[in-house]
Amino acid sequence: MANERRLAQELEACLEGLRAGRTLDDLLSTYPADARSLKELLNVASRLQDLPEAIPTIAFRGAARARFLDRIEARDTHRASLRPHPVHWRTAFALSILTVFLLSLFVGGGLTVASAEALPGDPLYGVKLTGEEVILALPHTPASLAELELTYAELRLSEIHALAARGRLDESAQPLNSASRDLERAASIVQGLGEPALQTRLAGHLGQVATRLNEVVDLVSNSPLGGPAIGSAEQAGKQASQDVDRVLHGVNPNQLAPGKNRTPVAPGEAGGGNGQPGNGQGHGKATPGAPDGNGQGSSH
Amino acid sequence: METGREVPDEALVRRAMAGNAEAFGDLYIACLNRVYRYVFYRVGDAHLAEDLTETTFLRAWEAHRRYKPGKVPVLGWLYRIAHNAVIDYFRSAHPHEELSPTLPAPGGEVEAGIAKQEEMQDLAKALRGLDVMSQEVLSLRFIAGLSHREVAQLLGRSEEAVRVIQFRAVRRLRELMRGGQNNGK
Repeated sequence: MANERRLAQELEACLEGLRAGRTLDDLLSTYPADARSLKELLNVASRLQDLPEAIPTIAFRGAARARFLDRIEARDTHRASLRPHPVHWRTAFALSILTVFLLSLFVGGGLTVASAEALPGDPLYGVKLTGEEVILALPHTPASLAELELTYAELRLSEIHALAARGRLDESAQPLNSASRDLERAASIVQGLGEPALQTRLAGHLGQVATRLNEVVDLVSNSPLGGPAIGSAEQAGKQASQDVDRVLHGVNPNQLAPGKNRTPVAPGEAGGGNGQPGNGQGHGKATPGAPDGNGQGSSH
Repeated sequence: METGREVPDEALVRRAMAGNAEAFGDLYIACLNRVYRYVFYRVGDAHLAEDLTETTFLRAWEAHRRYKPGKVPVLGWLYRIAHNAVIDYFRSAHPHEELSPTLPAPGGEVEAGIAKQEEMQDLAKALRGLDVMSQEVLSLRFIAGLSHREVAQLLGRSEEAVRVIQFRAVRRLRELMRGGQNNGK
């Protein structure tokens, strides 16, 4: 076994060496006792690496994207057809309230009492996230799913403020990435909603959370932190904010200022009366619940 | 020239994983060649590889909410889904199917190309004669071109465990190829 481990390590070292441009003879001279075995193994490995490029046919590749989009649209349409009744936006709103209530129950009960206050890096933080995943996995309307995503985004942003207060802002990459992702998902859902009144109401909440995200990105940017993880998380936050801007402009092109100067939109204002969804380019097709606005939002 | 080795743009991955279908379609095209190559050498048939590649991306779309950016690179995540699609295919409908490989022709002179192609076919066939874990490690390492650390991360194994699996798999592959050569003589 020890012999096998040694050979495995030597093989890997030789592969890395070859990748770095060293010659085979040079590498084998490092391991004279195993040179013969290694040479045979390296020969097999290099032939594996030299297997010719395999690419799909031009016909397949040419039609791949359109066929893929058609198929996911067909799946969503099929799912929508299985739903018994369209969900009115008031029902959707009630469901979102119920979901938040369930979330409160979850956060307030049992083991999760302790985990509710957990921050990234704490032992119970994983329990907290798992609980959230469980709630996400329940059936949701698109609207309630968007509300839930926004709730989670706000939770992540609160965690970053808590980390800052404890001098642990260097652990903020994970919640910042998560908040950005949750916000982008919410934006994508809002953009695909077919009910203007519901879309307008959610756009208000979306704008508020995006503003908070911008504040947190500033907080992290202005701290003396470095490293690729933090930098990447900041970029994710900025990108999410830009995506939200695009969605909000689509909901109401006249009222919202882009980027950091965005004015939070009060519920009921964002629609600006036109009540039209965004341009829908590329988003309405298969975003959860789009565009009929009546469905179960997610595939999970 | 497209090499099929490009890493998809981070912003595109974010939009796709946020549930934007059009962005996911773009991600599909960006990763198509790499996933196809991985699947092709696992199944050895071009049409089946195309079907399973499409299946991989449809499953990825269904599972996009579960993708954790920063934890696993998106290509690694796709390779895992592709691996499961291949396994499911052989387990469910075609447990005893053995496909004869139809390798893409390598470049170069015709005769040398044919000889090379035969040798490569033997290699690809021998690869599929390995156990599933060995196939996956070698495919990820040498066909998908992932680093040793990335393979370990993707499979949830220690680097040492992956090193040993890789060593045993290459050794077994050498034995299978020797056997094939002897049988052919």
